[in-house]
Amino acid sequence: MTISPESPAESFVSRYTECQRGLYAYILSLLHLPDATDDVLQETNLVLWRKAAEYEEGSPFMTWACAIARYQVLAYLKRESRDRLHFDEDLVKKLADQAVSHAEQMESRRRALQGCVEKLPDNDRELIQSRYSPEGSVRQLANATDRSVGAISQALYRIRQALHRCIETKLAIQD
Amino acid sequence: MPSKPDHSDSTNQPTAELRRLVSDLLDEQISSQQHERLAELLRGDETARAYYLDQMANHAVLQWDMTTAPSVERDPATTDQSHQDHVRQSMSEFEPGLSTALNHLVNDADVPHPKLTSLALGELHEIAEADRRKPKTILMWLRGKKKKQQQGVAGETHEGWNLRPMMQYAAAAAIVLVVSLTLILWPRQGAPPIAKKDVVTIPEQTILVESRDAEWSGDMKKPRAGEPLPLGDLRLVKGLAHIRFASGVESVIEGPATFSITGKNTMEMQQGSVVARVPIEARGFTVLSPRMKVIDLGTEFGMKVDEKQIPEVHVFEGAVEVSKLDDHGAVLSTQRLGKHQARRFISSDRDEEPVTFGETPFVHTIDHPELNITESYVASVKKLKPLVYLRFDGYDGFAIPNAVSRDQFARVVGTMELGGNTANRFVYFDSQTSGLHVKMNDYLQFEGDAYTIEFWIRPDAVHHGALVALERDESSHCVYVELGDAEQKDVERRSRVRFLHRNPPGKAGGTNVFSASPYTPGRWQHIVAVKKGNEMKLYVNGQIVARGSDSTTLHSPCRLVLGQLTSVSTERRYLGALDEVAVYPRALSEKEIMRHHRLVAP
Repeated sequence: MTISPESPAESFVSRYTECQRGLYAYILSLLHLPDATDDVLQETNLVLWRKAAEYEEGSPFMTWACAIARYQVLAYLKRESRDRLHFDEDLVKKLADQAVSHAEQMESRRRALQGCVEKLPDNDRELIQSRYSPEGSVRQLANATDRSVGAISQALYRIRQALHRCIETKLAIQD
Repeated sequence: MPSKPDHSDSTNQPTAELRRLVSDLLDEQISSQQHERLAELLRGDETARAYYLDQMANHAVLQWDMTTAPSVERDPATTDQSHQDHVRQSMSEFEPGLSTALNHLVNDADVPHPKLTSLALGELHEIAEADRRKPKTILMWLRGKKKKQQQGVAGETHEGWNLRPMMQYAAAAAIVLVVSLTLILWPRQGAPPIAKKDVVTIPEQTILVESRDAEWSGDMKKPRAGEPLPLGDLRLVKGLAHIRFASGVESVIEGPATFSITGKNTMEMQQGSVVARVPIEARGFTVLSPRMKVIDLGTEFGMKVDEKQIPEVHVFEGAVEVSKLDDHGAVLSTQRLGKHQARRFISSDRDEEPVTFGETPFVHTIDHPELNITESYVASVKKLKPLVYLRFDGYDGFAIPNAVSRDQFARVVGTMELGGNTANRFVYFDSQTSGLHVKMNDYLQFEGDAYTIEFWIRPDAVHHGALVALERDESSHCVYVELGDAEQKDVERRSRVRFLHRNPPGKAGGTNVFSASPYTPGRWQHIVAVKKGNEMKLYVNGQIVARGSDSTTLHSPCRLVLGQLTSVSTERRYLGALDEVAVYPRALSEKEIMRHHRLVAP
C-alpha cells in the first residue's frame, strides 16, 4: 500500500484532529467548567476551519490553535460571565500565556498519567475512574458509596496529589 | 525589602491551601468566596499558576479520555437501539438534508467509510454553503441534549440513551463538518482540495492477532491472523486465539470454545474460556454467558463456561461486576468481585457453588520463542557492510559498540535494561518508568541513492512508538520507522508499521508507507526499510508489505536515534524490545532480507 505525501488540506486535517485533546485542556484551564469548555471548543474549531488558509505550514499548530482559542475564551467571558464563577480577564490572560506549553505537551502527559493511574492502589484507581465517568460527580459518588461528600473530596484530593507527584517525576525523567 | 507574594513554600511546592482549593474547584465543590481566594492566589504567583495548570491538564485528560471510553452501565443490546431511535426522532426537527446526513452517520456506522463520507459530505457541503451557521446548529443541538441530561433530576441516572455514543456521533459529525468546510474553503485559496482519502474515523474491527495450534470449525470461514473477525458465532475446536477488540481489550480464548463478538467491547461465550486484559479506555468490557454477565471495572479476569454451560469467573487484577441471570437472561442479582476472588453459578435457582480463586487454570498469553540470533546471521549482516550494526551484547554501562566500526558507538541516555540471555542480548525500552533512548555519538554520512534500515522488534503493546530514526537535528527528520497506535485517525495507519522518508528533513512532509497488516505485540518481528532510487519498500518478517515512491535521496549527514522520535523529544516513546539494528548505505535485495529472516526465524 502506498500513501502519497499529504496535501496541505490533509495535513491540516491531521493536525486539527491531533490537537483536540490539548485544545480542550487549554480551554478548560481558562474556564474550568466542562460545559462552557465544550461550547468554546466547538466555536474555536469552527474558527480554525474558517482561518485554515491563514495557517502557515511548518509553524507550531498548537500555538496557533491556542491563540485562536484564547480569543474565543475572552469573547465567551465577555458574553456569558455574569451568572457564573469565572476568573477575571487579567488572570485568564496570565493563565493563557502559561497554558500553551501544557497543551503542547499533552501527549507526554497523557501517557504519564495513564501509567500513574495504573500504579494507584486498586481502591484509589477505582475511585478516580468513577469520578471521571459520566455519572461521577462527588455528590453521586457519596450517595453510591454511603460516604460523606467531604470524605470523597478528601480521598480525591489525596489521589490527585499522588498522581501529580508521579506525573512530574515521569515528565522530569523524560526531559 | 517587602517579600514577593508567594503561594508556594520555601521548596517551591504549592501550599496546602492552594492544593485544596484546586481540588475542590475540579470537583465543583467550591464556594464563591473560595473561588475568589483561589483567583487571588493564582494572580500573584507564577508557580501557583503552574501547579493549577498541571492539575487542570490532568483533569482534562481524564475527562477527555473517560468521556470517549465505553460505558460500564451500557447495555449494548438495547441502549444502542433506543439511542439511535431517539437520535432519528430528534433529527426530524432539522432540515431534511442535514437529517439525512446525520442519519447516515448514525445508521451506517458499519458501511465502508468512503460511502459514509461521500453521502454525508455532499449534504453537509450544500448546507454549509447555504448558511454556515447551520452545521454549527447541529453541534449546539447535540450539546443541548447533553446539557439537558446533565441538568436532569438529581440522583437520577441517564435513561433511554447514552451520552457517550452521542458525543462520539457529535465528534464524527464535527469531522464531517470540518471536511466539508475544507472543501468549501480550500479551492478559494488556490490550494488543492482534499483528495479522495477519507479522514472520518470509523470504529476499528475486532481482529484475530494470532493463534496457536488453532483448529476452527469446518463450517465457517477460517479466521486469519491480522484480519478482522466476523460478527456471529465462532467455534474454536482446539488451540488458542489471541483476539484484540476494537476497544483495545486483549483476550486469549482457549478451545474448545463457542463464542461470538457482539460489539466493539462485548462478547458472548457459550462454551470455553477467555482471559481478558482490559485497558483503562475499554473499561466496561462485557462478557455474556448463559447464566452469567461479567462487566469489567478495569482489570484482568478469566471466565470459563464448561460443557454443561456452568460459568465461573476469576479476577486476577482490579474488579468486575458479575450478575447472575435467569433462563431468559434477566438479572437476578449483581455483586462486585475484587482481586483474587472467584464465583461459579450452577443454575439460576441454586446458590453459588464455592470456587477457590486460582483452582481453574487459565491461559493468559500465547508464549513466543526468544530471538535466536545465530552466528551465521551476524556474519551475514557484517558481510553486507553496514555503516552501523548495534548488537547490544557489548554494552559497558555507557555505550553500545558499533560492531562494524571501532570509532563509533551509541550512547545510552537513561538506565538501560538488557533482555535476553548470554547467547544474545537486546535492549528493552520501558517508557512507563524511564527516559531511556539510544543515539549514535556521531553523524552518519550517506552517499548515493540507496539505504536500508534493518532491525528486530518485540513491542509490548499496540502503541504509538518510534523505533528507529535518522535525524538531521533535534527538530527535523530524514527517516523514521515507527509503530502506530489503535487511535490513528486513518484506519489504514492503525496498529501498522510506518516507514517515512523525508527530504528536505523537517517536521512534516515526506513520503510514508504503512504495512498492510497490523504488527503483533509480544512477538519478535523482523523489520526492514529499503530505499533505492525512487522506490521505497517496507518488509515485515521477510515479506514485502508496502511500497512507495519518492524521488529524493537521503539527506546527509544524519544521526541514528532509537526508542523515541528525536534525540531530545519525549514524544512517541517505544515500549518493547529492540535488537540487531543495522543501517546500510545500500539497498538490501529481497533475497538477502528473506535470508536474514530465515536465519533467525526459520
